[in-house]
Amino acid sequence: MVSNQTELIMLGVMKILKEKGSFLLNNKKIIPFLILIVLTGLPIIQFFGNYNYLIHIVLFSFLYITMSSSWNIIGGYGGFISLGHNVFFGIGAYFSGFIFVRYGISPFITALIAGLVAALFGFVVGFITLRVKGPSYIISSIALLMIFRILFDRWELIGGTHGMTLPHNTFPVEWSKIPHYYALLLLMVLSIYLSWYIRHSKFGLALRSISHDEIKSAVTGINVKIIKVTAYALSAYFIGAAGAIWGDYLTYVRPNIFFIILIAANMVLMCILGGKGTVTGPIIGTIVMIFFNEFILAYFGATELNIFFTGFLMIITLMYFPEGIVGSLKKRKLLPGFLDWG
Amino acid sequence: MIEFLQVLILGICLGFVYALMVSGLTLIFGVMRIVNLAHPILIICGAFVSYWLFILIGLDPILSIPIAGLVVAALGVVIYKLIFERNAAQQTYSEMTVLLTFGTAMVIDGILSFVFHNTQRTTSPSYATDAIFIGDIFIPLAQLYSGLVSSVIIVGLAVFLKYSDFGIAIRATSQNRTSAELVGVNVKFVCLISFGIGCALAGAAGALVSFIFSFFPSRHWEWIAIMMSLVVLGGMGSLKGAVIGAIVLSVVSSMVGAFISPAWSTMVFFLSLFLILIIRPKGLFGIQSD
Amino acid sequence: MNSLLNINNLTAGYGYGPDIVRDFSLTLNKSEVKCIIGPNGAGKSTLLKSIAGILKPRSGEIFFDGEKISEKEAYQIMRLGICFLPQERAIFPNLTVAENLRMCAYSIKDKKVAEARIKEAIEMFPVLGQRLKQIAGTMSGGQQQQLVYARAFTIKPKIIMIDEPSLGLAPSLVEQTFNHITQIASSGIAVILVEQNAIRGLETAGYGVVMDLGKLVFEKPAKEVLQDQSLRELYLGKALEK
Ligand SMILES: Nc1ncnc2c1ncn2[C@@H]1O[C@H](COP(=O)(O)OP(=O)(O)O)[C@@H](O)[C@H]1O
Ligand SMILES: [Mg+2]
Repeated sequence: MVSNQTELIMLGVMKILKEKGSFLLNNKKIIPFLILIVLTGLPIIQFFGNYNYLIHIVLFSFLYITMSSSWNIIGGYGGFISLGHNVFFGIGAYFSGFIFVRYGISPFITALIAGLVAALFGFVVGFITLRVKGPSYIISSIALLMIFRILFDRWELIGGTHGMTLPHNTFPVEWSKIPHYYALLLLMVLSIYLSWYIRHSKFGLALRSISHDEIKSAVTGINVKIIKVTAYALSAYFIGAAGAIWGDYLTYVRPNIFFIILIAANMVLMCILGGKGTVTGPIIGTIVMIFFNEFILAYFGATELNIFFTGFLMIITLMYFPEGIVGSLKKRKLLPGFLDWG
Repeated sequence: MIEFLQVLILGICLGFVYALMVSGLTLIFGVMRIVNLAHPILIICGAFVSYWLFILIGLDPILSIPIAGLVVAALGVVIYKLIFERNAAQQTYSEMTVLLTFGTAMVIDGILSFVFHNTQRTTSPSYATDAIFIGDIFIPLAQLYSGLVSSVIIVGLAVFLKYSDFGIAIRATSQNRTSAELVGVNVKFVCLISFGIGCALAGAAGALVSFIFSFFPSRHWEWIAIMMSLVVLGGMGSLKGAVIGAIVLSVVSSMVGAFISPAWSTMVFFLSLFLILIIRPKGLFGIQSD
Repeated sequence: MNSLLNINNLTAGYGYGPDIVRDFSLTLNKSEVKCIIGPNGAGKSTLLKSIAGILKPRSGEIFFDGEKISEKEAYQIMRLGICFLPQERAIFPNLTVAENLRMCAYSIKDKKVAEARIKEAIEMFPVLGQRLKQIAGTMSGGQQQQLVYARAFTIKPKIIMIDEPSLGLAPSLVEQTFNHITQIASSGIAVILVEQNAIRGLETAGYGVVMDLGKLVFEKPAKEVLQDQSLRELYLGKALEK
């Protein structure tokens, strides 16, 4: 009798939990908001010990979520797969780094301007390059990256191949990463917001229509050129700003750190893995990739294998679920609501 | 003047090597519309085969060309079966296949880097450091031999494509797959063999590369853009275009390297690749790309 | 089952799209000429493509000489003796005329026979003989048309399927083309002809097959179709307007 009653109560509790749970999972705002609160408070753990590695991984995720979400604007919504998008990363880093070294103004102050410089640059580059589509575009983006690599390697004012060394901040070691942490957290939130905003705006609709068929879009009265180029510039903005912060974090900017194709490859893979053209895809893809990479590093201990596994993951994703995690789940109607931002 | 002639001759020799390096790339693109970004790393695979044959049994890299070609062709056929067969059937010029080849390049790069590390290597046959003089013109034998061997292989390839039934079938397939099938060409087989031949050419080029450049696995990233520039200039899919593109750019880049600064010589490739793609995506001479 | 070609309840379509050809059955005997007519989009080209193996049938079977061909690859079907000339001009524009002719004879494994056949084709179309080195795509429309039909005489297939031979041709060329087709038919090759110019097509053929919405509407001797006034209005008129 008693046991029967407890069973009933248990069942009732379970039922409520289940309902609340599914409510939680399907509400678009609550879980992301909770996550944001947790992330904002996370550095508190430094009071209880040295969790530098954890902080590093989390802020590294912020960095790449910022970059892949930004890449997604032109690569996912716009359909221009760029394998040279880290030129903006480099430009941002070098701009702020140079000002820091020359005039002592911290990249934390100039990061948003660095983004602007990158975006302006993106506008010019986009204006020139976005006339070609498809594989030709991919190859031209690689060429662009190579050109920048050489230019920065040869540019003595900014240190040539050795680049520039930036002053350290003077915080104790467990707090030295915290400014970067919050700066990148902010950039991440802003870039996700931008991506979300574009996804649901008329601008984004036009952009996606262009990605399907430029000529038809032009016929329906869309100013194809302006939209493409603007999207390109927007996608460069936060990548540039993030580059500025990243340069300060590394305390040096150097061509062979910023202008390597693997950074762009990571952005592309993160987007495709998570689901390009969706708002949450790049986020999920980035988190999966970073954990995967850390796991490989911890387990096999060789960075070369990272390249191997990154490539392997790329092939598997492209061959077996080209819509990515979010896209595939959505198609099967398995995507929890809090990840379904369009 | 002497210096000019010397740079010119060296540029042409190197140009033929470049032409051999991209001949497989352009063949594979022509038949399957696959932009094979893994081609450069396959060349490095060929270079490794020659390197180890030279180190272990002292086999001259020029003599190891057939072995390097076969090994890489076998590797290519495996890759084709695993990854590209489905895409090759569609013959669509798509971003997806480019990313697939990019992923393939990363996979091979990762394995090679893990096994052999990114140390610089070269094979050093006796002629690698030798040179001859024609009048006052100084020509290193390594460049001369590799240029000559490359041109022989390319002529062989051209003759095969031009005159043999299978060669004509390859060209017919690259023009119109359905039409080829309708005259009785086993298109899947032609694709497989073309991919194999393309990779064999990469392997052969690798054997030559092993003694004229120093190579290491991750060097292929730079070669991707260099090699793309050569085929894009001549129009992707056309062998003649690739040879012209390779020689022209090789000479120009040698000139820049000699008379301006070696630091800028690779810029020639990247800049021309970028400009041609932007201004004339079909290449200057090309009609075959679409 | 003794006919040359047996199509039983064929259904076909593209990708995940709807059925374009539906439950279609047809037979073709040796040396027979059948003309398929029907409005644009009826599925005539799709039917020919699935016989040729370019498009895999969704259901139904096709037998050729008693052998099931509906699961074979296009090149295998062609080698068995079914030649298909699709709507788009089926030549290789960047190859020379000589190379095109060699490709026509590609399926003939005996080199001597192949050469002899090519010679025969050249005798039939002397213009091609004068232009062996020319890039095929640079020839005039009429010359290219000759190159297309040279294939029939090189391969000597048992069946030839021709999709809209007169489409987009100048009137004088239409006449030339139909002469080629008559020539092919009189050499004993069975022909399936799809033609928008229905009157002209039916005049060439023994049987008229009317197809609409992917289905066989009826099949009658061509003469009857041409004479039947109501049929003329219903199907030929529609086809003629196009
Ligand atoms: N390659 C294709 N992919 C998808 N649908 C096609 C394709 N070709 C034709 N169709 C569709 O099949 C239908 C019949 O086309 P078709 O067989 O060419 O008709 P017909 O030759 O009788 O004019 C049309 O509705 C057309 O849209
Ligand atoms: Mg048709």
